[in-house]
Amino acid sequence: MTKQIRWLNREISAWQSEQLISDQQATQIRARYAVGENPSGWDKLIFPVMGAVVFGLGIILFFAYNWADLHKYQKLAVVFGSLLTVHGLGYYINRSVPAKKGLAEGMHVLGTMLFGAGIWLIAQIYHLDEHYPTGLLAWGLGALLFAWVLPSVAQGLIAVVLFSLWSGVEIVDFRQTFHTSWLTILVGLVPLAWMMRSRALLFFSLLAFSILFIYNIAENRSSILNYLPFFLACLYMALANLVIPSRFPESASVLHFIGFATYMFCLYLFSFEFHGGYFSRHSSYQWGSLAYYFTPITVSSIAWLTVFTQTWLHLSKLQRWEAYLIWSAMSLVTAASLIPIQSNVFGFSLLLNSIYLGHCIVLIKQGIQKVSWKRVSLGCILMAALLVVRFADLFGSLLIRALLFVLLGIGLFTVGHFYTQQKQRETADA
Amino acid sequence: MRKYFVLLAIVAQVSVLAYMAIKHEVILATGDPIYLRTAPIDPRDPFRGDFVRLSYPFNTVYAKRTRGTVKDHVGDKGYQVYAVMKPTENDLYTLDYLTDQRPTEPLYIKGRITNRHWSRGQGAANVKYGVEQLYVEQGSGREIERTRGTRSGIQIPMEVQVAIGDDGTAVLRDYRWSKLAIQLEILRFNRQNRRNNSSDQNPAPVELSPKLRITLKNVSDSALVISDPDDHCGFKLVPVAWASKTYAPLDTSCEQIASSSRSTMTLVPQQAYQAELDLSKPRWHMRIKNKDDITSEGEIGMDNNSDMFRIIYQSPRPEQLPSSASTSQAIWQGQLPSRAFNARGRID
Repeated sequence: MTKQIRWLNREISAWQSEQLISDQQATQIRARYAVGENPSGWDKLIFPVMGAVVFGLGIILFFAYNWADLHKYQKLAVVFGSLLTVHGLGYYINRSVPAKKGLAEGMHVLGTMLFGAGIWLIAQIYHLDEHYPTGLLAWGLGALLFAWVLPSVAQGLIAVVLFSLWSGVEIVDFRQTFHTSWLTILVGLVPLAWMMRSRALLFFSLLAFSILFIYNIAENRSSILNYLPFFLACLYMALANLVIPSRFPESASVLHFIGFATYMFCLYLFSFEFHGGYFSRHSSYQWGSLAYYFTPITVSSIAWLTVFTQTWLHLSKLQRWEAYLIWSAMSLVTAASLIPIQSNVFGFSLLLNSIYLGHCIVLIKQGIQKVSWKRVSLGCILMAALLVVRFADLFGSLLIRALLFVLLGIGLFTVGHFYTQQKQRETADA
Repeated sequence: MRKYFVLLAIVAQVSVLAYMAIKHEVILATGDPIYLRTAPIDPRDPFRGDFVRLSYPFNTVYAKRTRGTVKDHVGDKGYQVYAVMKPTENDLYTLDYLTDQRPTEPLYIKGRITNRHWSRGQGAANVKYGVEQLYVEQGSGREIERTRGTRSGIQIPMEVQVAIGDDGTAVLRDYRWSKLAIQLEILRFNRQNRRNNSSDQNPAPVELSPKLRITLKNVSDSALVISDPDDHCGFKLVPVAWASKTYAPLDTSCEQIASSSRSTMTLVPQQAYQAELDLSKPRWHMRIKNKDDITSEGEIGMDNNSDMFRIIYQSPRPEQLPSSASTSQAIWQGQLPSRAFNARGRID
């Protein structure tokens, strides 16, 4: 329920008590602004699930004490008994008391936590010193299985965390990369988030997928570290446009948020001094490297071509400007990576700076149009961040630096003026 | 239909745990039990509480102890190898050789090459066998470390019992402490690393090698017999596996010496025997060959030597014992190595 609906319900009650409206009118107004049930039921699940996770962690630490007085068969009985009891209770509640769905899911989440505790306890009982990230993988697969069969967002989130931990430990502690980690999240969890219409699961799945994808591929190919996040971000922003007419249009905001944040960060880094020439600097290529390089470029280009051909007419003028800027940045970065640009670094940097600045202006204009102080502020902050670093890089003369500040001040003053004007206009219209 | 999938998921989770437990339970019940000597240290695991990290001499295997193509895979993390074990005294087993072909010998432990640790020397394979962690109740880890002793104090070797399955999987079953403990003290060493080829006209004679005191202590609750014949022939000086040079003792007279009733001694519980070994004496001189095959003879402390050594107490072989003693059950059998040290006075 949104803040506005809550406010409206309170007001309706007040109007009824002041006899401004009749009971029938109150019912009609309430019916007009009725709020549907949250499809994921996340608000009902959050506490049982959090309780189960915290309780499960407590159980793990309890077992970690490694009671010497308990015989190993007693410990095994505790492991299997608690796992079967908790899952059994979850199953029973789910079948017999459908109204307590949250409690049932909480029980299954606790079961999955106990499954993880069981892995570590059995390893403790038999003094196993095998490759410990495999335990995290097995635990994650157990959670993934329940995420699909129930289905459950909470189990999906546990699986995201465990797969991320598994791959993170493999990379940091063992210097090993596993492409199965990001592939499992992409194939196993993103479709589940889509199916359940869960923005939270989609956000964390995409975030984990992106980080693991970039790290696992760039671990041995650091030279493409610049390109992967950039093109992945461009792909997400194209998808954000494409999913609007789908059955899950709410996913657009998640895709745009991750995509735009990463894209602007990459563009900001490129704006310092962009050294492309990836191919001119590497004389020998392997098919693997070529595939990892060209796949993001190709896929994001296809996605943007689809945006241009299929949804172009539905885009606003400013959204089209944003699309032009993204397309220009993609073309520039692709061109710069293919040809040696050592002689023209300044030219490329200048163009990328201009694109970055263009995005800031589009953001500010969108903010003024929609009277969104968040967008206006974000645009101004991003612009200021660029001008501050360029202030140090480019302008040696104190006079030019002073002029730059004056221009920035005038710019911000103008933005403030237009924003206030637009807000007054909207208020007058209302 | 969904309810069957939920039941299937529950069965899947239970099956994973059951597989882990049953696999290791079967090995414990049917596997061959052997003892391995180890050095424990006590870290902590956030998920599993206290555990004692066990380090075995065969966690680092040098090229000369390998067969097959292990040498070509020392950097291949995760490469599967087999440590073929051979029996010594007191049910203890040591490494015979490391191979990457499944051995025909009955006793071998499956391991995997790990390149996580710094590999001293060249061609050394760092191997983990899955029995490097002993989980104990919280607080007991420190107790085990205290029993084992400090670097310069009396040290009691830990001996763990493992069960070995048909496929070479080893599972820790139990542990015990050696009945005999050892202590290494350095009484004298060459502080300035002075050399005999000093440019001084009349250099004062300098002992280049350290003088050591070795203490053997009976830490069991019954009497033990040990033997140290003339000129401390009960002890031998051995370079560590990762030494940069090759060493061979010049004096081999100890090989021929039999233990006499005069050289055997009975240690009652908590009684200690001490021997002072001056490594600058000819008894401990070595033939030293460096990487360029240049050979020299003399003390181990020559040429500012930084290689590490151990003193090993070696019980007499049955044929070396006097007839009266050979049948006695109280004779301590086996080898007991000291901490590694070098001529500069460093104890590892």
